[in-house]
Amino acid sequence: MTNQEQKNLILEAMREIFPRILPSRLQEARLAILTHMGMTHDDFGFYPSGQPKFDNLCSQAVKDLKATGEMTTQGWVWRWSGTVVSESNVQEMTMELEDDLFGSVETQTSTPSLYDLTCEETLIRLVATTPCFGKAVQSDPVCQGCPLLSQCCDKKGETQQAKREAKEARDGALEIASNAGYDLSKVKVPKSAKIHKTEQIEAQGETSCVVSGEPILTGEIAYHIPSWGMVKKVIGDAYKTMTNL
Amino acid sequence: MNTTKQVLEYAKSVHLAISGEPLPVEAHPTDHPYEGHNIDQIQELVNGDLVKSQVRAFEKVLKSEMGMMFSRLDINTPVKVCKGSKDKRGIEGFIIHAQGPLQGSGKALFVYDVITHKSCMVRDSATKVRLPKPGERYILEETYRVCETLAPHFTKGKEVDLKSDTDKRGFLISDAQKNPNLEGRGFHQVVVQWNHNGENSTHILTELNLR
Repeated sequence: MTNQEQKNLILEAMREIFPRILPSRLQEARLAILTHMGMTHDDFGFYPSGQPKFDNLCSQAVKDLKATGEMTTQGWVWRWSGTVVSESNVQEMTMELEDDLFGSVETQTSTPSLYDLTCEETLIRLVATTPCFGKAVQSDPVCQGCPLLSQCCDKKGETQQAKREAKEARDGALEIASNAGYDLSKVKVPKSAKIHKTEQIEAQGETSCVVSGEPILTGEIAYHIPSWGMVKKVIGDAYKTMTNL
Repeated sequence: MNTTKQVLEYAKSVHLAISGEPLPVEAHPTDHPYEGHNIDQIQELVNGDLVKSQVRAFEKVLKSEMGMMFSRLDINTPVKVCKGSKDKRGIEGFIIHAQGPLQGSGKALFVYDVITHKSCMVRDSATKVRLPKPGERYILEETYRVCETLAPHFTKGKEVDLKSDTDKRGFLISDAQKNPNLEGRGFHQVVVQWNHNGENSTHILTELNLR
């Protein structure tokens, strides 16, 4: 379940039970939501810091409900205001207001931008001059005002996907090597090592594996990793997999 | 693999495994961290970071040794002439002799480049210490030794040619002797009169072939 889906679930639960249980203190209200949904903190997961994601999702949901005027908060106490203003209502009201103000003049409802982001060149230039591109934080107000937000989020997604794939490949390669009796997780690869230029060779003389220290005999198929040394075939294969070669 | 010797041995074995040939030697082994083998090639064969750090450490030790020698203006200290006339500036040689100058402070140095056979007399403040090239100090020692050995054979009247241009022939108009201005230091040298233009010039014995 994505964060957005989890948030929607919480919102739904809040709308169902808050009219009955509020006003209530924050902790009790959160517990009530969990009980109502029949879920625990574990179901929503935890941040690397150990904090439960549920608390944060609750805060986001409350923010949304406050924005629509459905509830208010006072210190640690949450209150249900009872006046439900749905998003569609807000949109209708906005449109009516715009009609009143501008008549038939066309108005722009999306975030206004100085840049025409449908133009590829403009987009390239803008991306090139935005050092934080690909690091969007959706809750950050600065990011929310950035014209590149949607592209930035896409890029971030791609990067995270690539990282995930790389990690999976690395874990797979480590496991293969581990099954062959080599623990590569603790091997320190020198910065100079050019793994991308690894060459498979048939040893024409005796040497040794720079990782395991085992001898590589004449005629044995092995790899030479430039600026590092010779490695056994299994180890070379593992490193090539890790670097997606 | 911690020492330069271990790194070199491993590089040799890797080169042999890859090409089936021994790692070639490209320079003289003296004053070289890897016995004259190409450093770039070793860096490519084995841990490049380790090689770089070993080369830096080797140069640091050598630099410190040369610095000490230069501070005392020891004979055979490698120096570079960095001031003076166009002819002198840029000469990379060794201090062959040091003496008090005719005027002014410091010391006057006789600097000789054993590779190009260029020499000059300069004030010590016009030189700076440098690292010897691989094999350069070996050539210096060899030049002393060979000059000493050949000196009795280079006698007045003998015919010679120049090693760097064997078409250039002449005959000796003096016996081999050390430069009297260097107080018994330096290399044995002779004065040659050249056949093609009748001009005289002075050369150390390793520059000439006896005919």
